[in-house]
Amino acid sequence: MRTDLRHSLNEGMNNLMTWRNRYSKTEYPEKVVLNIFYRKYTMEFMFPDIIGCYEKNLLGKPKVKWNDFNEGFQKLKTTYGSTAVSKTQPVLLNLLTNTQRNVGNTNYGIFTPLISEAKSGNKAKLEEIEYAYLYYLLTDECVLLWGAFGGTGLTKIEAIGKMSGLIIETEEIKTYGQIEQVLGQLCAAAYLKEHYKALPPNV
Amino acid sequence: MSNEENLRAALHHLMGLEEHHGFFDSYQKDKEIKTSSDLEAFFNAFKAHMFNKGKWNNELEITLKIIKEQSDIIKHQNTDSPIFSVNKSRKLDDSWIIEFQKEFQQCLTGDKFVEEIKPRRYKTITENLILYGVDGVKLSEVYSKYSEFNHPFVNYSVASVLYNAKNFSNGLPILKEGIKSIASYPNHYWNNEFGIEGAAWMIGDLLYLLGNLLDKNNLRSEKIKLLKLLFLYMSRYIYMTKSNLKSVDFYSNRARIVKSNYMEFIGIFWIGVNPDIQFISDMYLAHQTGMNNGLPMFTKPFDQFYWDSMKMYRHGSHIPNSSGGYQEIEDRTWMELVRDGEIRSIMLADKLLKEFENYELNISNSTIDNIFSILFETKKDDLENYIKKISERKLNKTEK
Repeated sequence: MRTDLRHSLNEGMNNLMTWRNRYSKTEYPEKVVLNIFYRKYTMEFMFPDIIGCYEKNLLGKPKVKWNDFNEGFQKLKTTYGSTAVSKTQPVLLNLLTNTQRNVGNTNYGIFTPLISEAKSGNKAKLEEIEYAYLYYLLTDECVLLWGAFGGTGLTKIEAIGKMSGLIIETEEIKTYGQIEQVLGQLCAAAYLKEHYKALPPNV
Repeated sequence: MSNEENLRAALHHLMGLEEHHGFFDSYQKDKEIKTSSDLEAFFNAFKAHMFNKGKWNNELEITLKIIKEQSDIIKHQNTDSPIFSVNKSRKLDDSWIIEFQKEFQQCLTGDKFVEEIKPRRYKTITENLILYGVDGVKLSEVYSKYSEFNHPFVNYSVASVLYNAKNFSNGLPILKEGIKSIASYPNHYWNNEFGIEGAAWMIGDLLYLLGNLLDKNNLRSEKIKLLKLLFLYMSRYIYMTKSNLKSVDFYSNRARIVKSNYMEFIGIFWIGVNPDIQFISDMYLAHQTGMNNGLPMFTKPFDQFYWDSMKMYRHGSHIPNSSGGYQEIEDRTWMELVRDGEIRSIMLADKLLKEFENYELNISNSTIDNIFSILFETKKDDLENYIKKISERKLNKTEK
């Protein structure tokens, strides 16, 4: 099975178009990046809930938390929403002052030169930021899906296989950075390669 | 947060301002706030009030933008017929298209040529196309300036000049890129009139250039998708502009497309729908739209739409005969059939939009590549011969 990310991609595109109308051309690149990190920090903060979906029972077998995968996905989405408001929002700007602090596999410092070039009219850099926003949006959506699969009794590797259609060998997944890298490459990047249509330059 | 929650939070913020209460009370004494436009007018007045007091700042500006944008999104989400709805918050800025049009006009050389439309569509009328000479070098400069936008209207305008002059090797690649950007959901220019216009004409031209090649190459399902997309984009233009003057072209061409792809549209509509009735309806609506937009009632060539609709009703054909036409077959008046057809078209456009949003009408890039490779095999460049041929029928001959 290949994960169907079309609704997430559409949602991401709609968000970018909305923000293009909402913010000025100089504000826009920074706001998109801010949103990337708002999401990433939220994912990091709630990662214990995600990895907790792979709890084992007393016999060492995967614990079934829900029979319906959608039920688990909705629960994780709700947790995501409440974490974003209660934990991320109050501290985000403070966290971003440390530009080298990694969240997942990236940090704000990577984006600061992109922001300033995009602000000064570099169209390619703006597209890079927009692509990064979509890539991380899709990746994080996959991470939530991966958690939801865990609650149905699948192992971590089985869930990755179900989502990507690939059988992989990997070290024990324990961190947000690890699963973000795997699903980003196998699911999000592969999906975007086929379906991404760049927005026109922001004039 | 949902859109409703976002809107509530933004409204709460603005209405919580100390100045808001006093201003709201005095504003309400003179003016009513009943519609979304009234509300927008109120907020604009409040902004001006705060601005004059020196209290308007960037944060309030963003809050106001969020209110407008979230109201737009909610209004769009709740509409019964989204084909009519334009979501302003998701409309890409393509105001530069006016500049493009001016520069495009400057590519015209001033020469005019005439070419007869064949095969003839009427027994007693000869139709001619007026072709305008275009400076190829200037056109290339204009295209390179605007190509990065991948805007359907730009792609169509430039590509059609080239392939109509039998310069397929330059025209078809532009058409192909244009088709790729509009033949799958989402279309970034869905809320832009020029974007929809370009999309419709590109698909129309592609189908015309292909002729029966899709059927011959076992690509019938792609043909059906293209016809559905064409109907959808034409309808979208008509409904999003509330039948503006250009809609005359879309109504009349929608009528012709449905008529000339009769069997396909019997399947695309539903059982029991006669495409001829749609022809009667759209041709009449083309005429009516012209009148509503100030065109004199019976002027050439627009009055032909009226006669085409009436002839199809009375004779079931373009050519008058004694069959009795749909006047006898259908137990309904001409105007009843026009209204039936209009409602059916709206219903079909709504249905096709659902299919489009559900990715059912997507045509993959590899399929589009395949379609164009078939087209490239049959369309060989013939620019020089073509120019020589139409030069014989130049309208404004100049002495050299």
